[in-house]
Amino acid sequence: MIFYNNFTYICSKFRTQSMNAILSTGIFGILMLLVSLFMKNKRATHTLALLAVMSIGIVNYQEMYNIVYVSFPGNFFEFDRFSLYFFEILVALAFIYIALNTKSLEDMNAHLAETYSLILFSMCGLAILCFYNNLLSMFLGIEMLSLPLYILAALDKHNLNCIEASVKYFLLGAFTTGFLLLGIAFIYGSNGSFGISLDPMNSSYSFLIAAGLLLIFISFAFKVSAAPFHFWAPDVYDGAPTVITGFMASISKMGALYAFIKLFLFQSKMLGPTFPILLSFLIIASFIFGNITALFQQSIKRMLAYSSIAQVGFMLLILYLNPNQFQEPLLMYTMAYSVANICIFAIISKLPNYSFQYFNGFAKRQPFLAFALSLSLLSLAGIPLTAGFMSKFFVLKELLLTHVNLIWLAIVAVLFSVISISYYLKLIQVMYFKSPEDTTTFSYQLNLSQTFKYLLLIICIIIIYFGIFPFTLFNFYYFF
Amino acid sequence: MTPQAILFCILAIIAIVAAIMVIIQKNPIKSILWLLVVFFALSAIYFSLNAQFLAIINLIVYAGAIMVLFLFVLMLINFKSLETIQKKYRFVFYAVVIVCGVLTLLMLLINQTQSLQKVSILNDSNNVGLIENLGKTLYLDYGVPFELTSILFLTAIIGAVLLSKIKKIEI
Repeated sequence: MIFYNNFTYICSKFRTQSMNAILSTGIFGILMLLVSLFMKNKRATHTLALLAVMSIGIVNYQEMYNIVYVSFPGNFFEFDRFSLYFFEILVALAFIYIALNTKSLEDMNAHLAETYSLILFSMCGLAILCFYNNLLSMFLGIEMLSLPLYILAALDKHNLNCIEASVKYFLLGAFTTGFLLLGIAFIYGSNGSFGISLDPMNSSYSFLIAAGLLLIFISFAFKVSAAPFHFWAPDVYDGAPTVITGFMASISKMGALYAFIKLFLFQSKMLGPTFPILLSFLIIASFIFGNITALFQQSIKRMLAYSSIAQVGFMLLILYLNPNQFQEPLLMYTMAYSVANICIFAIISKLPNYSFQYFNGFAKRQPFLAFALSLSLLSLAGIPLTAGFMSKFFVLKELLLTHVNLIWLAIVAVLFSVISISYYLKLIQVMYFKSPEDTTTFSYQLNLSQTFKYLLLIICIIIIYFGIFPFTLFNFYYFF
Repeated sequence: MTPQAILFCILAIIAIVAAIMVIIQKNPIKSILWLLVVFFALSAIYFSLNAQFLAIINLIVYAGAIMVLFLFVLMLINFKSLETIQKKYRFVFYAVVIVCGVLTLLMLLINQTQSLQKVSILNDSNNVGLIENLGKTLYLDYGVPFELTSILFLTAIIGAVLLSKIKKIEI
């Protein structure tokens, strides 16, 4: 009877909400763990992970049509259409990521099923970050996203670089989590609730809210590695196993970015007129640090890490847009950037070393890999007819439609992406136009499965297809 | 001054003096023991604020678990070598600037929010820190995040096992 009373109390207080995606990611993660007790076959583990991601996608898709399996009371999450669609895209990207990297994940000298379950737990954090409606669930989501990543970064535990990267990532991450918590505490102290709809008229403690939002802003800038807070990114991306870097640089980064945008697109008014200035400082610093430092890197992984900082600068331009027009640029950017990064990291995780010398004459040895790599690099650089061009085009188009006075920022962005082309093209030039200096690099044989090549072909098709017909990505969101 | 305020002043002074002692002690063991005094003083302040549960948890977690961890780490490493480390006065200036900045910010915040009591979080303010109220809030209002936290802890457990396991097993 007491239980019943409590239950009716909860139901009367909150509207119920379904959590298909969040629950299924968590359940499949636990399932992977349990199954690993009985299943010693690696192939079966891969298949199970792919099936799990696929069923998360299906369950999330059903939620768009209000087919709900479990529902819980509470107002911690909001399942609007865009969030559902965005998470669906993240799940699709995760599917491509796992399918491409099965062999590399296996070669990492770690426990395979546990690795998969950590990736699934991280996706559970992503799901929470996509659907959060509350500062508390936002905090949970960020922690659930990053905690598995700290562990995944250290999985190759006999490699000292990995350990260093993981410890660095964990310490700095825990430090910024402190900032986040202090910010949430300030906002809770002034509002008396964890809600994210902050009303400047309603609250008499706007100063406290501004201080809290500023602290949250700092910690989010750290999580997406925007410039003054980017120092962890090159070391972590370089030290972590390359497969894991592929996940951190693409899917998890876009999830954190969406959470960032979701909070600050609507609440930036609380920070007053200083917010656009603060944001432009962050963006330009990201461009400068990312692009200029990437020019001088000797290792491909470090170069890509710095280039991802520069890309974050571009993505943060979305924060200037209105709440009803940020969807298209964000979707396009997520698709283009993640697909290209997944492809690049999947390829270089097969290679024995990441220096530019190794890539001398790479096109003659592996013509197809070189082609896929160059196409992804061109897409990151934003060359027309690739998805990357469309993503940058949509960001700048919406930015100029909203704020004509921000044209200087758009010009700066274009100038810096011109600089970025030079280091992307440097790798392509090395691959196609240089002959290898010594023959010892030939001795290493790459064993690539046929499936890997077909998947790379599909990724190339995706990059070119969305470069020519970008609206197919939005059609589903608008019309179905 | 009410007795409560006098008690608070005494506890606060103890906490501040102990915190300063933590920094200026040269022997790491002694500075850890001073840190213990800080935690006890803070717990006493929580008690005086009618937050019994928080006070006890603070004692158990910080004074109990974390202090023991600190002591173990210090015993395991050779802390004699730590004593010879020269003090670096290079960063003192920056540290003072940062501390003063943060202090000013906090003072401003406190100044702006004198009437924070208006925002009442629980109606029954007499028993605000009792474990019964905490349980009610945790399981009724925040049930869903509470359950989701279990996945977070599961992740931490898996991580600890994965990273500390020495023998390699297939799959």
